[in-house]
Amino acid sequence: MRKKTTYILSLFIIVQQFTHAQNINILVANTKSKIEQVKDYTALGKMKTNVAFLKLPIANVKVYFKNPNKFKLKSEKGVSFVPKGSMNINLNSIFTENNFTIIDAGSEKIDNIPVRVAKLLPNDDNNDLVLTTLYIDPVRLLILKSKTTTKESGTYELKMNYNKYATYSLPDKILFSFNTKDYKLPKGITFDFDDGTTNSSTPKTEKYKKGEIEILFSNYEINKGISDDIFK
Amino acid sequence: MLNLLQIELYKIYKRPRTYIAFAAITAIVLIFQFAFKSDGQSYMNLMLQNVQDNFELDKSKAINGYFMCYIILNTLLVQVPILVALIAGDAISGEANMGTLRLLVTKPFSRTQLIVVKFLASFLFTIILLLWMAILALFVSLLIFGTDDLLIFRVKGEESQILQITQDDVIWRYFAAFGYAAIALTVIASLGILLSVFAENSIGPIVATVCIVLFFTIVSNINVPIIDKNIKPWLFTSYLVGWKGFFYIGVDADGQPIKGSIENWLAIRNSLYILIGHIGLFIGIAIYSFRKKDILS
Amino acid sequence: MKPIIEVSHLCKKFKQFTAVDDVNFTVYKGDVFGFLGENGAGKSTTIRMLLTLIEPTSGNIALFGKNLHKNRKEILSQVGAVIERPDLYKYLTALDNLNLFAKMSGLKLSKNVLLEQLDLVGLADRYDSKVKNFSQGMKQRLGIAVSLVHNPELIILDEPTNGLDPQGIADIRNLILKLSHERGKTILVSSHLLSEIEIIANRMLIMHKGKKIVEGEVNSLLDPSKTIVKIETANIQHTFDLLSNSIWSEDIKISDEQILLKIAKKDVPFLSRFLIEHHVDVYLIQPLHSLENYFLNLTKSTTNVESFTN
Repeated sequence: MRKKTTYILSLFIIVQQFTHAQNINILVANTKSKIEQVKDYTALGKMKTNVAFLKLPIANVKVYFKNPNKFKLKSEKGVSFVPKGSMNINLNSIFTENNFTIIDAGSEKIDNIPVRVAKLLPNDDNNDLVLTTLYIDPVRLLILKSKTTTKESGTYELKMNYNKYATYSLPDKILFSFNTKDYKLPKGITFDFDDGTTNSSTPKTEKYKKGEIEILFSNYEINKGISDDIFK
Repeated sequence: MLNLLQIELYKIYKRPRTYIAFAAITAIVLIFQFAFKSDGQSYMNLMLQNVQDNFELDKSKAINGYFMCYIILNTLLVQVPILVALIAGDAISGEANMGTLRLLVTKPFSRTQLIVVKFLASFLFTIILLLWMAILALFVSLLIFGTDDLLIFRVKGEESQILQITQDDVIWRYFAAFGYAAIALTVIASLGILLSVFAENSIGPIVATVCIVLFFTIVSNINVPIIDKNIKPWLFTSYLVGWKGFFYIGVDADGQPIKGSIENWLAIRNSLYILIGHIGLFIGIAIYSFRKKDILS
Repeated sequence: MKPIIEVSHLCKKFKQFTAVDDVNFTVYKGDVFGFLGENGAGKSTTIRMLLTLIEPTSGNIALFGKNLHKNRKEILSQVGAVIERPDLYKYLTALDNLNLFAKMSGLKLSKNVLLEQLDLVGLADRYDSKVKNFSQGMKQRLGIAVSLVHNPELIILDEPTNGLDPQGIADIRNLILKLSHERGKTILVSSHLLSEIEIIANRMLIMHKGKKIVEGEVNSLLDPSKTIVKIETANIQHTFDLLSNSIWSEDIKISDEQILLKIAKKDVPFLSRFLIEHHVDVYLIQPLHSLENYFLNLTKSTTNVESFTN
């Protein structure tokens, strides 16, 4: 009898959750409120840049966030190429605009985890943002992937892996993909040493190429308070 | 022999002409440093081009002492051959012009020794000139601009690249580059000495040396495949910029620079062989010709 | 007497032009050997061959009894030379120049020794002046000081009085005599002026158009009782053979289309008779009176000889 009750109860919860999750607006709102429990954080990161023309070593960076939308990525030492509008790599900033229409785009699987797909359309036509697609793990209320299309900077994609800080919706690893323009220096400007190994066979058809930035985070410090000076 | 070398160095040391080279280098380096101190950003913007659409870069960090040295060497090592030619092109012809050659040749040492000593003196002059450059372009730049990672903007065939070398991986590359440059400039010195054997005034060989270097450099920079493949490898000037090879850091499959590595050491090594071959060839012909020459000056 | 310079069958050709043509001569120890000839006579080329500045086309040179080509270094360390203009390093002082050339000979001389050398040529008070401020005469004297700095056995001076004022000429002349008499040096000095050679040399050689004309003791060559006779005949070779096998064979030369013969003035009529008795068709018998006249004659007729060495 007791077994049966447990069974029914759990079934109820599942159904409850399912129907609950049916409403994409509520899922997005719940995901958002989970994110919003973090008022500020800092974290150390190891940033790896994968762009064809950039041969950069892994950079030690530190990120700072303070709500609602202050974000800063600083390199610990050395010269570093920081992706422009580094806001884009911070999830907490995704919801700064409240004025969205949310469309349910069904379900998918990311790394074998079932996710719900939500499309966020800004109501303001003048917004640079055209469309944001979120892939949300409905069980953990975590965004696993986001895809953003802007008018100015094209489309970029963000993939997140969570582990230790999943309770704060803070990822251990993010992978930021974007389009880069071809980099071409005028010949003769650099007087380069031609060692005879140049591979002119690489096709140069596409003007845009994919670029990737991977950051592994560690040492999160959450809700400890941050001075505003850092963001200046 | 050592005694003769001392005498040669003493002569170079005592000549006002010697100091033109040092003054020219000092002036160029100081102008560069001043220009970049006041407006290095625009140069960076030019080199970065549309990279700035995707990335932000702390340009004041990027314009550091190491970067300055690279920029200065890039320009200066094109001009320094002229300064080396100024001394080397005068080696024999200057003595002929002054009338001291016939006295030198009647001294109890061989003509081969005379050429070898002239060559060694020009070589040492080149080394000292490079040391002076290193002091000004590298160490003074480091004092003014500080140290940080070095960005190398490079055109590789059809591609352009930006390489980042961490600051703890830079200085040995400069030592290697200066070493390479010493050998590259010694080729110019050898050419100057060779041409000076045939002339009785110093202007001719100096101008001829500079013209040959300029002409070859222009030809090797025409950037037409037929020239790149068939002619460029035969021009020694193509190898003068090989010092840059030390700054082409090796990368792994992921495109991450490997600290302490060089992309193509074999190419650098081969270039060095070719340059050293040229030195041997030029000095060999100089010795052969000078031994046979009737001194009529 | 010990020969210092022995030259045999020395030739130098510059392409088509023969600058030195089969020249032989010997300079003995202690000689002041005068090398006389017009500009372009081949003096400078010969001197440059003695100093290994120019490679002979053929012939032999021995200095100090050794082959020059094979013992170059050893020989040159005992030779000092001033060749034409005594150009030195203009941007260095007199003392620095002297010191430099001393070092080239492997010598480390003290300042006092160097100053002594400068004193010998009268430049001690100008030791600290740069050579570019020197007059021609001073440069010449410094050049001689440089040639002496390694205390050589043999000193070769090519036209040392060229371009000097009379006082400068006298200074150099006295210096040469001093070096010869006081220091026992062997000196070869070239000039285009007989008067100069006459004063300083004990032996001499006259060159003309690359050929040796005459070599011998200055006193006997310039003996006023002797004369040089120029002979032109229908068959010059036959005449030469004839004279060579006669009592006139002692001092006879054949050159171009003439024979030069040195005989006592009083013997000139006998010579004419001898030739006629031997059925020689004589075009000309002309006594030139003295070597000096002969030399002047030579130089007058050859003012247009090309100069190739300067």
